[in-house]
Amino acid sequence: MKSTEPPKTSSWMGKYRSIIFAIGLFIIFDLAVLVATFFMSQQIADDTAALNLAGRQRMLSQRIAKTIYVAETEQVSSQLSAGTLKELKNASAQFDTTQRGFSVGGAATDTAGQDLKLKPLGGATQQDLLKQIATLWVPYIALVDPLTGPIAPTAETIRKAADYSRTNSNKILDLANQLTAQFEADVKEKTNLLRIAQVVGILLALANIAYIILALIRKLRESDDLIEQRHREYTHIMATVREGLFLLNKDGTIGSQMSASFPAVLGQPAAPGMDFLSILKRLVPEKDHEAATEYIALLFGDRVKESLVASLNPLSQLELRSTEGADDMVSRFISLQFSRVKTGKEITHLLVTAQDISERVRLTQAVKDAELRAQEEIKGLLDLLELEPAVSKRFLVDTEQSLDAINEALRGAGQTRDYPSTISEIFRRVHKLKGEATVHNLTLFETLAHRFETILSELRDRPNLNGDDLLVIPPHLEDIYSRTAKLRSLAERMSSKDAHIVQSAASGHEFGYMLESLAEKVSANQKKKVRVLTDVPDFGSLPEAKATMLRDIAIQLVRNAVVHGIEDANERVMSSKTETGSIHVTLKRLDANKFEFAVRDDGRGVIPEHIRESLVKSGRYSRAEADAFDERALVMKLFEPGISTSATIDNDAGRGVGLDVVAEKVKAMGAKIRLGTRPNLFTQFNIIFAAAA
Amino acid sequence: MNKKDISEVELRVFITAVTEYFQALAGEPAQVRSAYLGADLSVPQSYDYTGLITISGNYRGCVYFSCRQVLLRRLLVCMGENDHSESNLLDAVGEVANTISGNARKHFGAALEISVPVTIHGPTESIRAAVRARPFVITIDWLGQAAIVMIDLERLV
Repeated sequence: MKSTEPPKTSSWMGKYRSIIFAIGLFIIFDLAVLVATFFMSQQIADDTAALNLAGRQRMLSQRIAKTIYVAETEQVSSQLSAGTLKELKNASAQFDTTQRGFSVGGAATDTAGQDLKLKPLGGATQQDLLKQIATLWVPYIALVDPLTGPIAPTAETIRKAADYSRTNSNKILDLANQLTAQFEADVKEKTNLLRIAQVVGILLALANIAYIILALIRKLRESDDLIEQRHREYTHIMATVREGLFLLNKDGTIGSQMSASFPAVLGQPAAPGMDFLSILKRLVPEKDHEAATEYIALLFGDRVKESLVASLNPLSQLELRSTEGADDMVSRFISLQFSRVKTGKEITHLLVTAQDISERVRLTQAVKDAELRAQEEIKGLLDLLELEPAVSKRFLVDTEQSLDAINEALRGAGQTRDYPSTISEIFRRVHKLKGEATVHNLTLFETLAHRFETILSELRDRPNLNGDDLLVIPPHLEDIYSRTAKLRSLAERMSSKDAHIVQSAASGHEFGYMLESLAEKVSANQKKKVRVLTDVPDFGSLPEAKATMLRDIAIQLVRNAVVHGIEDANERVMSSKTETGSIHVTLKRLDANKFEFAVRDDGRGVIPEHIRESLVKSGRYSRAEADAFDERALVMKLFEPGISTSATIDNDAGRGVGLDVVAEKVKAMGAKIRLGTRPNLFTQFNIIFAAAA
Repeated sequence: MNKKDISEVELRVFITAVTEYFQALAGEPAQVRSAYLGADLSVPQSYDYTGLITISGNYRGCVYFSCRQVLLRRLLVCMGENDHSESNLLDAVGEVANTISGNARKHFGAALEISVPVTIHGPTESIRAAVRARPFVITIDWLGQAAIVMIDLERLV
């Protein structure tokens, strides 16, 4: 998953563009008003200075006239003072400097005596007034200048100046008044203009602020609406999404938002703020919990790429431990997926998605099982087709008969309520079925029988077996029934030969060959070297019922000989024997109706101590009881169900059923059985029976 | 075992419902006596009252409980009901079927659609669902009275 990025700057700018534009405008307005105020204030200050100077010109024109008249009076009384002339000089010079300053610009002094720089007046009316003043002033200064020069003025010079003054002084005063009025008007006009500019600027700024506020409020409302809408949608999603969703904090707690279905998916109470790993601890075995803790830590670290460790997720398929006891019969599977959530480059959370994948897992398992079943059936079919049609058909018929007998035993258990005996009987039948399957190399049936035996073995070991325990059997029985029926149907369809069920038992040759094949297969499984020598020419002459039972006995005895009797090659060599063990199977006719069947192996013999150990191991006898049995009694115990001297349980031995079957068959045949053995030399079973009852 | 086959655990769902029902009612649970495969759906003639539910959805078939009248009479007594009329006997056997239905629904969830119980007095020859060649038969015993639970069901998914 991609990390969550903050909104891009461009989009952020776009969102608030109008407000930013308005704020910019506001600043521009303020700056414009500021600049205009500054500029106009400067102008007003300049104009005010000019106004003052114009007012001073008005005063100076009168002072010049007055000084000239004083000088004229003093001249008449011959008392012309230097002070008067000096005053005239200063006044005229000041007037002249200001007049030039107004006209063409230049230095001047203000009314406070400070130097200032005058700019030429810009207004046409002002220039016109200045020209008129200049027209009067130029001749006037020409008449005044001689009065203030180094040479004492004559009466004539003073009179001329006084005459000109009397004629033009008031004109100059009038013009200076006009100029002053003009300046006043300018200042007033500019002051008004400044006021208007300020008012307009402030009004525009206020309007701008109002716009900004309104725009901001609108944007906020839009954002609020959007947030509200998203929150609503988000709430709906979290309330209805079927997956469990939440953000896992770095401290292992569930984030503040969590989909409502998460507790249901998990089958556990869960809420924001709870410690996720603690919840997990209740659901998974310790080993998985540790793996999950490490995986989450790995994802929060930034050393590994998320995609590389995704396949290591130990929680991608989790079988939930039931917390409701045996009542909760259906296993549930959930998947927990983790994705990094980044802010910038930092991994801040993990997005956890929890999904109930029970159905998916079940379907996958069903497909796998179906494939396995199909493969088993095909293999079973091929194995069957390898047999002679008559043999395969007989096997299937025998199997169905065995299953019928097992079912009858189950049905009968309801009446007898002797459940241990029922289980033992079923065990014998299943073991016989397995033996037949092994003889014919029918792996499927061998496996099915072995599975069945495993269940029966558990039942047999239960202390207080009751009817309720039998419930496990019918489904397995049905499984073998249905497979047998299916294979029978398939085999019949595929077999081109119009085979018929062999009514009689196999010939002596076939019987011998069958036992040799069995020994070969079992010895290969046991990794032993065994040779079977058979001498059973009269087998074909036995009635079918006896032949079938004898065949069952022979299968068990030969299997026992290979598994229990014959030692492995090393052990044999240590005992000064050949590596290959021998089993002799013979059937001798003792008289017209009597036969003796014998199976002899040159193995380790029956060792009483081994039988004692097995009796104790079976739990049926205490050590003291086992020790009390003499050798004969011990040997007889071998024929009890559930006693085996084999250390391990495999397809060939270990369940303690083989000799149990033999004993049952011997009884059914009305035969006698004898066991002869010598430690480290041989074991021989002799069965004497009558062909006809 | 084929995944579509009925497992021991599934059989127990139906059986536990019955045994616990008797336990709750009389303080004495029914005991399973045997479990085997039946040849067809018919039950011994002497089991004359039957409560049956049919199932569809993820499973298909039917389950029924059959017993003798005497068992139902004892059941009614345990319920404090002294009226042992035909309708009450049928109601009692229907109630057992209803309990099986409730337990099945609890365990298999909404994927299981279960009919209302049908109660029958007399032979069950008219039942013809038969989805299995060999339905599961479980015989039970309650206070010395025998009864039977027949499970003729197959899983579809």
